[in-house]
Amino acid sequence: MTKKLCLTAMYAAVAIVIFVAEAQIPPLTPLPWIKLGLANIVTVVAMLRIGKKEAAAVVLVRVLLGNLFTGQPISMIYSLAGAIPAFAVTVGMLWLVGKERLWAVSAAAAIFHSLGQLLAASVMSGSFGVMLYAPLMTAASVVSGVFTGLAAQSYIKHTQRR
Amino acid sequence: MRVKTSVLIAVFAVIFVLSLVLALIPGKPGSVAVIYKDGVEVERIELAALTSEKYIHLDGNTVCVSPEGIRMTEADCPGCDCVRIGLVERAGMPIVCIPNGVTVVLVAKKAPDAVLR
Repeated sequence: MTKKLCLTAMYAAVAIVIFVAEAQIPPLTPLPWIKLGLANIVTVVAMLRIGKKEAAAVVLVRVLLGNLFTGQPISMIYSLAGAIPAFAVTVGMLWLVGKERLWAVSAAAAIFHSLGQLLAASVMSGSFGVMLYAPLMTAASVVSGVFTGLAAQSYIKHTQRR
Repeated sequence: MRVKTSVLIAVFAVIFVLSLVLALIPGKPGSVAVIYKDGVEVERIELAALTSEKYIHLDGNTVCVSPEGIRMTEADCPGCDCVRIGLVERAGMPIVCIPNGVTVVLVAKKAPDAVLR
């Protein structure tokens, strides 16, 4: 129990650091919401190494503290709107495709992360035209999701317990 | 292994290509800029009537309306995502500054049904 708690806290700390560090990178594309989502690597690894509940805790702590550290509390709503569907999809995809093809798990999660955020933006701004950004966000999510999934896969592979 | 890897690759490749194609199809250009603050329309500007850029200063944001389209040039929120989006020429695709409650969108101008003189 204590070991699980410690591991969860450590994964959460790593996730926050990655989240804050990534927020300092200037956007690579004209659309500012497109980013790699490197903190997702930690979510996937935590889910496989500790458990679903603990991974959910890692995500929640990252969303709350990460957005406080980057100075944009309003982004918490977006982060949650993206994180909740992404988490659900990650659980579903892990069941569907297994632990060997994390790139597919992450890509699906990234797509739903983006769509969740756009939906939240539509509701908050009251203009559903925001959803016109969905195709570009989806295409970008496939790329970033595959990348973070491969990164998580590589981490899992190279840190197998002997 | 409930799903084959080849199927997975195909599915994501199709999603990627389809969404990219959808994103690259140019939409209808807009002709009237409409600016909302907290959901209330504050200004409506016809692009064709402009000869140069027009700046509209709202509480915390500056919107630039030019004959080409709309742009958010300034925002006092920490993210400034709306400024980074740049120029939007397409109708229906809004620029939104959620912290300040500002939305700018281009709409296609409806042709009048009849003109009374």
